[in-house]
Amino acid sequence: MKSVLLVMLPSVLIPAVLVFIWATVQRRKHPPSKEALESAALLLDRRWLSSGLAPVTFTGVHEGAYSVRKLALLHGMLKIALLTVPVLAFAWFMYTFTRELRKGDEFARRVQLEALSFAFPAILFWMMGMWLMDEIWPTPHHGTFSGALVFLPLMYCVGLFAAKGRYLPTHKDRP
Amino acid sequence: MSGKTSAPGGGGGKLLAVALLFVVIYFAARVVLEATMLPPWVRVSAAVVPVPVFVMLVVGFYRAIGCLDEFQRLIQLKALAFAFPASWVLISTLGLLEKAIRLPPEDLSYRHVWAMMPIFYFLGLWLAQRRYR
Repeated sequence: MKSVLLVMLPSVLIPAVLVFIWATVQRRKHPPSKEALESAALLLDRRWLSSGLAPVTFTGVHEGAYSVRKLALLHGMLKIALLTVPVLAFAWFMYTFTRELRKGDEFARRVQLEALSFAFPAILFWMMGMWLMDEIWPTPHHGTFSGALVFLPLMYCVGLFAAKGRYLPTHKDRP
Repeated sequence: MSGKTSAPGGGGGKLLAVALLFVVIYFAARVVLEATMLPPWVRVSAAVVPVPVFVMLVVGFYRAIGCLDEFQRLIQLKALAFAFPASWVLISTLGLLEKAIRLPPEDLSYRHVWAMMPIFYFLGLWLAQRRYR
């Protein structure tokens, strides 16, 4: 729990807050025109490619379930039941992801491909880095698979966010 | 990753060269890390050397995706859409297993899962190409 509060949460929240501040400053500097907002309507719609939200939910549910499991007063059966909760969140991700893959148009698929082509090598790179770290400073904390489960979904979420942002019209696109 | 791109100007060949360079540098770093009597700064430097090449590889792969035609893009999407959830399931299962029993790090660690991920990708690529053959 302490490591979640001191390391995990700040490493997720601080970049997000910095991006939000930067975006707010940019929006004030270059207020978007009505045409730009209209053309960005699809990209700004949260329901479009909602598979980006499922990984965040998975990470929250996974960390929450595993933190609650550590409480000593919980019954054994409840501890086992808590292990299945992240599986439901993963099932939701797979449902939204597959639905978008099947029913999405060419643009949706392009955004998904860009998200995956960031997420997959990023996870590969992260794992490779953790392995090398284990070789230099062997500690049991580096090599846990539960730790990787937090980063894997978030990488897809970051990839999707970046891919959507790439197609947003900016002040540079103005005639 | 595969280097099978239709990027103009020989982009695919360049990507393949970077991938091969990465593999060579990575295994060279591994050989250096095997020597435990080396001072820590040498070991840390050896661990960091593959990073810039990997960044080049990811950027090249990302750019090559943009140069693909629609059909190749679909193939790549299907390959990654198989590899990413498959890696997720593998890591989830190992995450549950490590809670249940002690997994020996010499048999099951990031080292082994890392090696599985490109296999998933190439399997996905093969499945996607087979589907549209």
